[in-house]
Amino acid sequence: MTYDLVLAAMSDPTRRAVLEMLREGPRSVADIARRLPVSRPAVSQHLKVLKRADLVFERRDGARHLYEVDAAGLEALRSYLESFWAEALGAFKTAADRGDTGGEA
Amino acid sequence: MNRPSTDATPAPITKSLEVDRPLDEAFRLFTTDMARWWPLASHSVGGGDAEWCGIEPWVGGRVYERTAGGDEHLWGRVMTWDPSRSVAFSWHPGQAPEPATEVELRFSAITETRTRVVLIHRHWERLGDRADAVRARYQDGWDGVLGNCPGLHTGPSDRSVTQDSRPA
Repeated sequence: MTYDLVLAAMSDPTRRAVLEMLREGPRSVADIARRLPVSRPAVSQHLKVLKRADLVFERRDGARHLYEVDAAGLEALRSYLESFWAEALGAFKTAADRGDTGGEA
Repeated sequence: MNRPSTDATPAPITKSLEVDRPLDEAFRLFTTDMARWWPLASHSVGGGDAEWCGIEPWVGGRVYERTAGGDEHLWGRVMTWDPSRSVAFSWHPGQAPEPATEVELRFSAITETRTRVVLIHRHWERLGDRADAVRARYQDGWDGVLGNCPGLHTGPSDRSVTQDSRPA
């Protein structure tokens, strides 16, 4: 569930810090780890979660692996939630207009 | 480039719609009879395994889903319960209760058989409001992340659901 992945990704303060750092420009794992009070393996773990939620992507620059903010992923977050509610309310309207009476089933 | 972030608080998602139902029926269908219409397959933690969902009709009650296997997933807790007027609940499906955003539904009669329903999904800023030593430093960043999403204010709209810029 995208909502789940995105919220999980964004609910951690270190991941938010990583994301914020990447908004300034692409960085390597080592670069990120130097600027935060967390180990490189921990940074890699956090990046993996952010990647799964489409909030960042990885690219190669020579021998280096760089991480970048996935702008499309960020935009997708809100529009995902917008459509989440549009769909839920659409389903509600369909049921309500149909005269689907509650309580007697 | 630190800027004050007070006005960068992410705006609530607000949606409103009208249904051909009397006020009290619309309220009941939305809340206690939620399982009759909620699109569980696409809007649940369990996905295809999700079988039922509902709202317990009291303050502190659960908003939750149940899977075919009997597992329960908490989506949130009822914060206000005002039958035929409004219901508000915390919202953290598949997540720990903190931080949670908040969803409020307001119901009002248009005619005796037609009801307006307004949904407000708010407190996005809470997602960046975890008690943490680094919180203050990162708060700006979080606001910036959400504030910079162009899609935040213009999601796709359903033909039966209009989007308002502010709560009614």
